[in-house]
Amino acid sequence: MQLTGIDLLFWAAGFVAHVILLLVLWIRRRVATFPFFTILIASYIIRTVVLYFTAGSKHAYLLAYLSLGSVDLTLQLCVVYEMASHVFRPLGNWAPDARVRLAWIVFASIAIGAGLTWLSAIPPEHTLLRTILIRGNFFSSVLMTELFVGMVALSVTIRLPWRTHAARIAQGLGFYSFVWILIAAGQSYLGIDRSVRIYADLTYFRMLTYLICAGYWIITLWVDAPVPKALPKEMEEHLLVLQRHVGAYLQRLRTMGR
Amino acid sequence: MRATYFFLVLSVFLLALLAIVVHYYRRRIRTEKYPYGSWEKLLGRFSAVNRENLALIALSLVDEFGQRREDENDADMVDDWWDKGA
Repeated sequence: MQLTGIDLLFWAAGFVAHVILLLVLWIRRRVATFPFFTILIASYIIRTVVLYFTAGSKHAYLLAYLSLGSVDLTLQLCVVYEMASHVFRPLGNWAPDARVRLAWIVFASIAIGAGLTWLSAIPPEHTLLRTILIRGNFFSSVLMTELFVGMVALSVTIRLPWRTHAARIAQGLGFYSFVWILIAAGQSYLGIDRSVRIYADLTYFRMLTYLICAGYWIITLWVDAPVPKALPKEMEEHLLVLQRHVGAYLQRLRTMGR
Repeated sequence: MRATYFFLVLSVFLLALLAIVVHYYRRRIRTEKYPYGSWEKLLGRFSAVNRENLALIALSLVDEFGQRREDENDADMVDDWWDKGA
């Protein structure tokens, strides 16, 4: 496979961005907080190296891309779980309303993603590997986007904080997945023949979008997240007393209503 | 033909996703600005209260001459409540 100067430039930029991001996670001690995200970024560094060395053979490249793509999808799903557990389990317990709703979002996302993938245009190349690659890319991009949009909607509905590092990671992945849907849809219609100009342009656009997201993560994970406002002890006790009194009055109102 | 349907459905899907994101983003901004809802919404909640029950509670706190009942525990509870700044 012939690599152009701009291909090499994007590969090098992606590799450098991932190394910087990994260093940020390590230096700012975010590894323990986001283990799956750290593994995902480390896997991207390995993937860049592996794909660079298999680029000489078209078949070997496709095989490596597919197998690493499955690892990528699995790790991304783990990252979704990690982000969800940070957002919906801020004090160690799952928010009571969130668990069931989150399960519904996951089932609905898989169903819609599968439906859209089934409907997607049949790729011009009918080899099994390429079809799996194109459809797999499309399905995972739809699924990831739905999951992140669902998480945003749910967190706003039950008023959970959305300015943490977990939220920043989710925003970056959600944005990238959204752009990736457009590119994967284009690939499913046009195919993935590198000699076709539009395919190369779409790939560069995807890489550029990803580099922007990686830059966003580097900056937001370097700075400290805003410290949540703690409720003063006195105020907490006052709220408990108030809640008890209101409960007593409500009980009385109910009794009178009968 | 299938490709046309696909891109049509995909466009609707993406527009719906965008609409959801914009809706919830605006809702979050609104919640940050007015954590308990707008003034109109707060007043709207008041209208749901049964005024007759409130009147009954108020009347239960006073005797037939309009004087405060001495033996009423709830009165102390109300005092405590207001003293604590409810």
